Amino acid sequence: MQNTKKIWCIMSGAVILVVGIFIVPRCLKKLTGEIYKKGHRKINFENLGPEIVKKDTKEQENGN
Amino acid sequence: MEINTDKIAEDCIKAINEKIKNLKTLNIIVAGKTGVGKSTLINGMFRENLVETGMGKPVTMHMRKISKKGFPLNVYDTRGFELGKDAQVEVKKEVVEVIQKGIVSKDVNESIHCIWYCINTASNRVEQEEIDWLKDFTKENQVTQVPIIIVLTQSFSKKKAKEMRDMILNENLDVIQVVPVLAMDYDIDDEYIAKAYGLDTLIKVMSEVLPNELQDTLQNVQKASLEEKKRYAQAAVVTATAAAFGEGFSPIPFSDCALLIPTQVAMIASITAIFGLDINKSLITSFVSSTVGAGGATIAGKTIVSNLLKLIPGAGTIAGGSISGATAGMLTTALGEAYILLMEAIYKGELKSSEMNTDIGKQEMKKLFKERIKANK
Repeated sequence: MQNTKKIWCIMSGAVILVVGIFIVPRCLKKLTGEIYKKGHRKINFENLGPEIVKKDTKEQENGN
Repeated sequence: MEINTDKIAEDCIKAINEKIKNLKTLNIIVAGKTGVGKSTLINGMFRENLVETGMGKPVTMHMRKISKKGFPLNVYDTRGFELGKDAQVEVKKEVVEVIQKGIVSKDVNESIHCIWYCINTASNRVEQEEIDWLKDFTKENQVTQVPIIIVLTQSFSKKKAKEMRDMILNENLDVIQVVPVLAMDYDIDDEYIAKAYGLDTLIKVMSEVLPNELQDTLQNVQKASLEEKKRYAQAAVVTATAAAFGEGFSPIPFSDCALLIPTQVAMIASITAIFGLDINKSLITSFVSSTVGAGGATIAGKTIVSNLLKLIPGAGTIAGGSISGATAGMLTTALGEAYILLMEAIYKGELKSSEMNTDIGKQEMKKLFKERIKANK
């Protein structure tokens, strides 16, 4: 009984180790993309336009 | 257990190089008349100043491929739209051929992933021949299904861009989106400038249509939006945290560290690839040595107690796993967030890699990491 428990423990540990090292990084790649896309805010195309700002005085001086 | 920071830094560098080497190549066709601002758009969007005079390898009569060795992006630039109907028919034929060639190769690195059709907003109107070309092309594209995005270049007038966008949308073309952009600041007059905009929107629209395997590449090659790089890097931290939390539950006492380090190394590699920065070993060594042990006695205590608890079968394994999982998750989040802040500072030029090797640099990093731990408690 004790031996079976030990073997079970070693086996499950080994499986978790393999999953952690080889499978998890691959899953992370897929999940990252999904999480990123879900975080997109809705784009308001009606309001897209440039911000109009006054030229920097220093820039103007340099330009002149 | 002693942690060999030099070995971890070495593993990080290996993982970063591997990650960058394995990035899939993104292939984009940029179509439109000469002079609509395609080159400015490409240079505004991507790192490495891809378009330089005379650069690009001709792939067909009306198309040149712009690429750079070791950079996971190919831009196919079309030419000859302005030369009349016959040339436009030729261009369409060549675009379809390039797309089909990619499909036949069954290789994601060869496939065309997106088409930008560029129209200059400053020209005030969309010519009927362009609409006809798009209609014909989208008909043929029904089989190949490559996402088409219409990019309204030089949209320094919000009003004109809106009018042109509405006009194109009314044509009911089979396109993903019509995106107005201004790739560079534009001098309105002697006093005022219109600030560049829209490239971040283009990145978001692109990310919606690209497969997951190309999301890393998109963030690596783009330079238009630091915010999007950060958002994507934060998503990488969230997934690594989830993995670390699960790994903390490993039933074998003191085995979680062996699992955690590869996950955190992979996370660091991902974040570095997203920012597309050249990172050397000394910077990573400084980062690792500044953060290891910075968690203090509380974290060390939690780790020891949780792993000792795991020695008790049943309830001990669950209780130990919970504490250990939560600690691993918190540490991973803090590490990831601190590394994003570091990458951001280097990206903005606020911090030089060489400064990280100094005592002040290391102290700053340690402080940053501790703050992140505190914030995530």
